Amino acid sequence: MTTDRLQLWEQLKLEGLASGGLGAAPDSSPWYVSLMLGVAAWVSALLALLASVVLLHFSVGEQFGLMAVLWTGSGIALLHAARTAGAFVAQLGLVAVLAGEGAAIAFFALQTEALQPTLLFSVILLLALLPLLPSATARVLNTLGACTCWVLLVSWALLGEPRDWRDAQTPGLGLALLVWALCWLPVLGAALAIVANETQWMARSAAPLLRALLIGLLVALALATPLSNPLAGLLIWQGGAISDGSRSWLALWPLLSLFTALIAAGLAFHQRSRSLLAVCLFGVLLHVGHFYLQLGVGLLVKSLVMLLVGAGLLLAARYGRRPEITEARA
Amino acid sequence: MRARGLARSGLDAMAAQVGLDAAGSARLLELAQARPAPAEWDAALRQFAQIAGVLAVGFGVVFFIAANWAALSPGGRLWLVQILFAGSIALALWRPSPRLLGRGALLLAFIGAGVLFALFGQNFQTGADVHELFQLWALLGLPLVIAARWSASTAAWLLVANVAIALYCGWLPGQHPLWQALGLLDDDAAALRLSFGLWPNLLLWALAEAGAARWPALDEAVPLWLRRLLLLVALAYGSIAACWVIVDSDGLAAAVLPPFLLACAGIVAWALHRRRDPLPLFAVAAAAIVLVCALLIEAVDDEALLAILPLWLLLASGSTASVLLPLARRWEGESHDH
Repeated sequence: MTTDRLQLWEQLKLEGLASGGLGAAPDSSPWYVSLMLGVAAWVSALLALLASVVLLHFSVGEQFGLMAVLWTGSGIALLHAARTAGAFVAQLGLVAVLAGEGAAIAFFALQTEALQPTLLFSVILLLALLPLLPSATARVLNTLGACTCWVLLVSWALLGEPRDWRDAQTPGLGLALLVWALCWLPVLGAALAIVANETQWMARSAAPLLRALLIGLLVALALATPLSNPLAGLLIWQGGAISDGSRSWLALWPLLSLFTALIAAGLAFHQRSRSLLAVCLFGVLLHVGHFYLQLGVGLLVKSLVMLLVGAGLLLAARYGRRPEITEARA
Repeated sequence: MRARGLARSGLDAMAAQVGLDAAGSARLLELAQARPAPAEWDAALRQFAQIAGVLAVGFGVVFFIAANWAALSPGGRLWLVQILFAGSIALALWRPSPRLLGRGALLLAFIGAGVLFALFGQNFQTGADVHELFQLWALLGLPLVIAARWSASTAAWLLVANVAIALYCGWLPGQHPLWQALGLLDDDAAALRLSFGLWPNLLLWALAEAGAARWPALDEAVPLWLRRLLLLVALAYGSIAACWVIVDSDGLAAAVLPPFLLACAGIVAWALHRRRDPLPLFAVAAAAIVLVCALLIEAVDDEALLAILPLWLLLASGSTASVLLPLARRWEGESHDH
């Protein structure tokens, strides 16, 4: 318990907002521990699924269904037990939950043999499990997964699957904007609503869930372009500008995503989370680079745009409102 | 009162303990200064605009020259960049660091210096290789970075220096005399060459770690996040080279693995001695997990590997968390940033 916590508690008591002794601080992990555990659990779960296919020769839906129920159930139980049993049990539970979710998605995919219903099922499953998972890392991973599946569902449903994009006519401005808005405005709206109503929910039992949800949403917003169009987003050097004179309004996506990443950065700053802010600023750089490559104009125009934007930003920094640091209020 | 580093989850727990309503929660956030004040927003936005503006202008000039390559004479290109460079230096002298304008001008001058070297090499056909351009840029740009004493400039310098290191160690730069003298020109020695990238980064990390506590100016120029990044980059070089020699066994394991393990031991010893930042311990643990994965991939047949690898990842990451997490919580106190 730090002096700051105690001082804060004493101040609350002085103002009549608190009474009695301060309870123990909740256990929380530094961001890099969560990152390491999350990555290790995710890879473990994928390999466990692969092992069940190759070694146990799982091939029919029922086998994956049984696996999904067993693993997800035991994973949730382990995550609950980990509150007293420690970090190792928590990691075991996380791997079991992730593998169980993967098995459930495989089960549904084998039953329906259709991509878009499977994506919709994934969104519903990942969001429905959120309240049952007592681990912040599991909740963040589920939120990120649900956002990715949602974006793929909407964009593939309205534009067709990426393998057809090269042959299909590129969408018009209206459709490109509509698809992007349907993909990302709900995510942005949810993040803004959570932050705007922070004081309403922080004393409630849903607070840990909403905190994890917010982290997942902000990471998704920061990395919107590669998530919404993985092939073009990750392989930006292959995306390229249209060189035959035709116009693809999909090139606007990274620009729009740039603005959402900036808003996400603002929300991360508002939450005083430096690690989230770093992710969002990385996302901003990614979107600028992506838009630069996608923009089908000459190098001269691009350079002039950069010079104008740069000059504008420098003028804003020079003549913008000067900070007047006022000392602490309490 | 500013409750330094008090995690949001800690504030939630406080609010929940006494069942604060919205007004009470707002007061709690206000007392803890958990939300940035308007002045902090202004300062952060100005700094963001400054860095983004400098980068946009710097790269805008580069692309402008590239776009007008044929239209501009060699002298014209050089003059254009020299004007940018001289203008930035003049601005930095007029409003020296630590003023934001001076720092931004020095960062712009650093970018301009790199462009100037590239143009010089292009116009006068010096025969210099790309890695030599980046080495020269890192070396001659260092005074600008030192003068700026700004994390953004240091980050830019580290990026340039690491591109030079990556090109020099990771990509065979022709018949370079050093590699020739060491007998490392062969393709089989690529992993060993790559492993050398570990040392400059590790050395810089150690120097910055040792100096940051004594000299606040150094801490300002190379803050904790940059020192952590340096360490992660160093470990990335070492881990990639170590995995390479394990998976693609060619007799160089004896030359790559012991120095890397020694470096890891040194990092752990330093972190345990300082008892401040737990990240180095987790980074070394992650490198060890990856290394054992490479060993398993090399030693175990495919089917057994599918069963063993997830088990290893689970056991290793879980054990790391249960051993190191209490240590991390103790060292970091309540300054968790998540």
